[in-house]
Amino acid sequence: MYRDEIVTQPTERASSQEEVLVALARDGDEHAFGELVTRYQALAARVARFVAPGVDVDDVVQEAFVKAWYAMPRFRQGAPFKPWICRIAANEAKNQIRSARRREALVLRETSAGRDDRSVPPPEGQVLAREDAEALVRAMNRLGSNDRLVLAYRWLLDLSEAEMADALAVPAGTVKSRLSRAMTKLRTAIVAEEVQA
Amino acid sequence: MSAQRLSRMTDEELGEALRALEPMLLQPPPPEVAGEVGAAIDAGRRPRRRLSSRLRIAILIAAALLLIATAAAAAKLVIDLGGIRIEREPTLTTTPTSSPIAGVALGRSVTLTEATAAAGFTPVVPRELGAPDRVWLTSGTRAFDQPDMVLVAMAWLQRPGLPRIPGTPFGASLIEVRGDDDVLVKHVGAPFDELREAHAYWIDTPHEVELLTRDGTRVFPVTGNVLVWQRGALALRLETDLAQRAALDLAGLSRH
Repeated sequence: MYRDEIVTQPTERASSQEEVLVALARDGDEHAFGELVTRYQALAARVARFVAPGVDVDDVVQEAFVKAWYAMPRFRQGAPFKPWICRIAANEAKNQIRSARRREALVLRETSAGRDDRSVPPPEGQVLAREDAEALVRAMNRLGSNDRLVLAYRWLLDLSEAEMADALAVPAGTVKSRLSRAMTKLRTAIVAEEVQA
Repeated sequence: MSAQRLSRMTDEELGEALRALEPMLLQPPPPEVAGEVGAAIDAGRRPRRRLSSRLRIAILIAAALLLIATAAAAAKLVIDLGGIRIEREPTLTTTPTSSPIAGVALGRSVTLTEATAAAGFTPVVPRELGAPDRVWLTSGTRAFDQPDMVLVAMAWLQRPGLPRIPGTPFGASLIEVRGDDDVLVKHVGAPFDELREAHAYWIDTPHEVELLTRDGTRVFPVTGNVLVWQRGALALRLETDLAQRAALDLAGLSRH
């Protein structure tokens, strides 16, 4: 019944919809949880890719949502779902790195046409010079998964400060220094890469 | 060449570069796992085990004790004074450069009047120190699109009764920040003192200070003795080569 209401009231605010979906999922409604999976699976995949590039992302995302389902009864009512699922996906990706006992690197896709048809082209107006992209990827690969995660939350997933605190499971006041430290490490890695090159 | 270009970027520009980088990465198509997740749930994978009530009580007590211990440890590790934060940690992995009171690091050189007008608050100038010999002004980090915070730094040249802080020409420096956002983070490896009566903290071991400005983050070594305290919304940091009692007198925090 709730699902019908959600579908037939398009003007309802997205956040209210999400609160209803989360409340239903907490009560064991699999359909509502399925809607949350559809909404957040791409986000969870982006988190996994930055924490553990090279792992089976589908596997990480699937496992993360299964764990989330079993943890739903403990999910705090009224809390935002997005940072929570980010945290579960990041933990699952880290688990997979540990079990695989290897760490893969972020890799730039080939520039020649046809090498990777599935990749999404860069959005217009957001073009980064290839040379800069290569330097940035090498620097990112020098960072630990936690620092990459902080940078991804801030710059790629646009999490707010409060959401970052939730996703990282740290006090709100710590987020900025974590971010600042990750940026400093990135700058250090950029310089180190140049020296090595 | 590109590393130099990237290094010169502000945090905001570097963040935008990261944003532009993501679509250029090799990545598989977005997952479609709703069906698989639903199937796994229907199959009842990893059903939750019911524990005996005695075992549940034991686990709850252990968890509560762990939580209390963790909270107590965390309270000792991080002290938040608004714009200034002190973190107790064994090491900092970043590489420090020169002393923060080298001048340039603390922003542009201004007069005290200019600093007062730009900061939006009247900087506290200890009577014992008199008018500062140098004043600098810098904007704090703009992360999360919040309004800029302003940091005012003042320094006094060495003179009798105000010995030189090693590595600088100054005998005292005072940094003031108003607001709740971290602009200055101190990373202290050794234990430091809480001066309960003065509502201040005293750090007399070499440590590092991280300055979060609009132009990025820089880390500096600190060799002087540092007194940190709060006055309303203002966080203050006094660095000298003086002993604790003399520093408290200078800051006007002594109880006579």
